[in-house]
Amino acid sequence: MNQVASQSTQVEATVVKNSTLTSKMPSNPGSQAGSGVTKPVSPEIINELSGTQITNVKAISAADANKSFIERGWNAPYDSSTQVRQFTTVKEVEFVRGHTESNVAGQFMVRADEIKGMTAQQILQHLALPSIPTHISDVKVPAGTKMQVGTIAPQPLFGAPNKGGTQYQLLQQIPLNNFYNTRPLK
Amino acid sequence: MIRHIDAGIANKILNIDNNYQLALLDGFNDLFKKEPLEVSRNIFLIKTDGQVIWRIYSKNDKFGDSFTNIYEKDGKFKAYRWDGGQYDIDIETGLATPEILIR
Repeated sequence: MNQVASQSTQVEATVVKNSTLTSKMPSNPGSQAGSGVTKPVSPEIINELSGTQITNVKAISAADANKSFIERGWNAPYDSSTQVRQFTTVKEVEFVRGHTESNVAGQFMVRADEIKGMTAQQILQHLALPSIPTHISDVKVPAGTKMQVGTIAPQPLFGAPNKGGTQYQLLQQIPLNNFYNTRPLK
Repeated sequence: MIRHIDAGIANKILNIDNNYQLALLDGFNDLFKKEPLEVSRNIFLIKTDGQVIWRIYSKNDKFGDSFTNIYEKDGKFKAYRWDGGQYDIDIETGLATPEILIR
């Protein structure tokens, strides 16, 4: 456990699937986090994280998180007015991924609660996707996996002029068979 | 240099015509030895006997993300990469051109 986690002995392990790691986290526009700086986790965040199985939590700017996408020639996936949190899983955690038949296995995913009960059209809007998802898959993320999480940037070209929900991104590739239980979206 | 691919080790095969196939291998395949510049070029055009005609390449290979799917769309061959992008495949040369981030 790094210094961030050690500042609060209440940071336990939780399946990120059920956490409110991002929904309760302030954007901290005036924070001193900067790029790659491990900052103390506020009491509010610590309480929400109770039972969370993550470690090495640090905040980076959306600009830093978007940089690698811009370099590849893509649009920025993270909202520029917010911060992105990076972390490492300590135990296996579950996510879900909405997709078409073309892109089953990829680095972006969400917590199940993020899109629970949504129709495909609603998911399209909420996640600012370029095409309507036809399927949803479960994703098993192994312990020790580096990830980051942040607010989805507006994608006006995809009919999503406002910033969207919360997306998680794998910062390292996981096996294809970790994407499983693919089923049609209703 | 990979000169021959056994279609049996491919994650997915697309038939181009009676003689040629597009083969997608798993980026974790031991053939690539976890080398980023090998992993990121995991699509091959092969003859039906497995002879490699070309190996895919793109300006984003250096980032080390493998492709996870190949498919036809609107009469053209496409590939989806771990980085979230859809790429257009030039079937003549193997050049993969980034098209859109579909996440």
